[in-house]
Amino acid sequence: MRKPENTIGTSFPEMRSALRTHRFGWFEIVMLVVFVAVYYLLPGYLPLATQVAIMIIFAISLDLALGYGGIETLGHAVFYGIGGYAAGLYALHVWQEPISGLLVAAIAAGIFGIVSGVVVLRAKGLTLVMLTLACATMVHEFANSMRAVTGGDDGLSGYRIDPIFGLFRFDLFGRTAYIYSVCILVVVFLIARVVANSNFGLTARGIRSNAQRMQLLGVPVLNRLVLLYAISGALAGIAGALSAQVTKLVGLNTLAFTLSGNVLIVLILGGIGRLYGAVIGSIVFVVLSDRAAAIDPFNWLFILGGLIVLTVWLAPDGIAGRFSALTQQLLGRERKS
Amino acid sequence: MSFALEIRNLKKAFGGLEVTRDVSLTVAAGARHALIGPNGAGKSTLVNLITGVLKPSGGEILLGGSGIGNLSQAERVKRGLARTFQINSLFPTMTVAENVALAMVAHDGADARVLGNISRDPALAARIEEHLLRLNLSDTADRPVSNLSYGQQRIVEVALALALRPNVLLLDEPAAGLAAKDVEMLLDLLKGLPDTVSVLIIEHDMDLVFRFAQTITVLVDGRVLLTGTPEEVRKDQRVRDVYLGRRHG
Repeated sequence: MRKPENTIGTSFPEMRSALRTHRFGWFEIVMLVVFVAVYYLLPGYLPLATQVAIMIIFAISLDLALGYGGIETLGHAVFYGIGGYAAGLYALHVWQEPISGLLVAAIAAGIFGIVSGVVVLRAKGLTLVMLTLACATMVHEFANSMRAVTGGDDGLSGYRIDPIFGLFRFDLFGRTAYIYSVCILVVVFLIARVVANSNFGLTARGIRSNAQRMQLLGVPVLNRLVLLYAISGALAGIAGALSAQVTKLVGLNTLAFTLSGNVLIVLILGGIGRLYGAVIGSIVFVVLSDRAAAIDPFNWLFILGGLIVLTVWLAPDGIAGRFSALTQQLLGRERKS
Repeated sequence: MSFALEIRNLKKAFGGLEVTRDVSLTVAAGARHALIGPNGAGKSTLVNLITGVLKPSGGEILLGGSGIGNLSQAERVKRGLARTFQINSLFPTMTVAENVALAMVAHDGADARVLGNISRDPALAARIEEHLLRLNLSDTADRPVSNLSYGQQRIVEVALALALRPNVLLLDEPAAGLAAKDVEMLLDLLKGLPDTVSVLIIEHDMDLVFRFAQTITVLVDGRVLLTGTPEEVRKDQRVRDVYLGRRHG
């Protein structure tokens, strides 16, 4: 891009680093290689890898709300669950086409984000945490009592999903499901990246840093938070819908507190406010949970708990945060020498 | 002609306590106007009334000829009234460039734009660079505000207010807590402000006030004691008695 003529002082590329937007780098390349390698080298683990991809999408959605906007929520599963039920019901009653199913789920979760956000986002801190939790619990109970629609305890099942684009049938080994999930993950990552790097992403970071001053800059803070919450909710809805389409089952656990807690742990493990954290945290969390449970089915949560303690102790900014601090140190040393 | 900022018979009482008593004040376009007065004279209350933190009990506030007394703080900012704060209220986790960008984007009314990468916007980058260069902040562009010295943070505070392209800039004790050399830096910066900005400064540092302001209003016990040039204020016996008197014994 050509530099405008009145540019003086520091140069345009430096302004890019001063505005700290997300840039593509080796991380994305490595991740793509890993995802392709898993497909060819670990075919037995495709269902697990699909879970990882879905968890990444879910964690990215939370990162937009929490990491960028500072919306402290313990009820993010509400969007995941609503997306899941929306996709399941859509497949059961309307159309079995998967992509439109994702869109329906995103819209349903996004609308719920607007409606609940207008009420909930007026609060801050602990009050906000409790309100998001209460909101999720209410929807959970609602889904539980609407047995005729949602299947209650038994979950929603008995629907089928058409081949993707009418071409790629979901197979028994989960190959299509895996590729499908990874493709949607890439799309969601790109959407989240666009949002994070936009004016709106900057505004969200400003609100997280000092909401009161944003108000005094003339920015309607509540409106912006509601918009962010809706975008975040829509992406979480896509994660839930993917899960519903791939597993052909939507259970009450998709709305449960445990899931809200897990996705928060994922983000704390990986590091918030940097999109990468969601990716690294999900991989560590899902793979470790699986391995630990395989080794010791009774006490595996100990290992997970231990890891969280270690992370908070040694890498308070999360694994991704620790890593970028290290690379910056190394780069700094190179520049000096 | 209409003034950049005009205050007519402004009153504010907290219960029975009158803190602002019938204050009238005009700030001409491009003026460098200072408001001084001993502790408890009602300076902060006046700032809070002008910016909309407090609601006046009576009187009018006009910005560029139109009344703003009933507008919210944010609406007054949109009308071109920007202020700095006594206590830094910046975005501490964000870089200086980001701080300035936030104000510019908000001023443009483009803060909700979801498309378009901010770091690939050459017009915005150029504006930020020019702004930081003018305020001598270029070196700090990529540093988080929390890493800056207190003096630099005060300058960023001014930078943030100026990025809103105000007609009237209200400086609330900008030199509070600054070291002598930082006060010089601040003064240089303030002297370099464009004529399109009218400045109302509230300040305890008399040296700074007398070197910067063209007009000085002295506030005592919630009333305007006197408005005049620095020379007139310096010579006035009443001002010496109530305010400077302590020093001159």
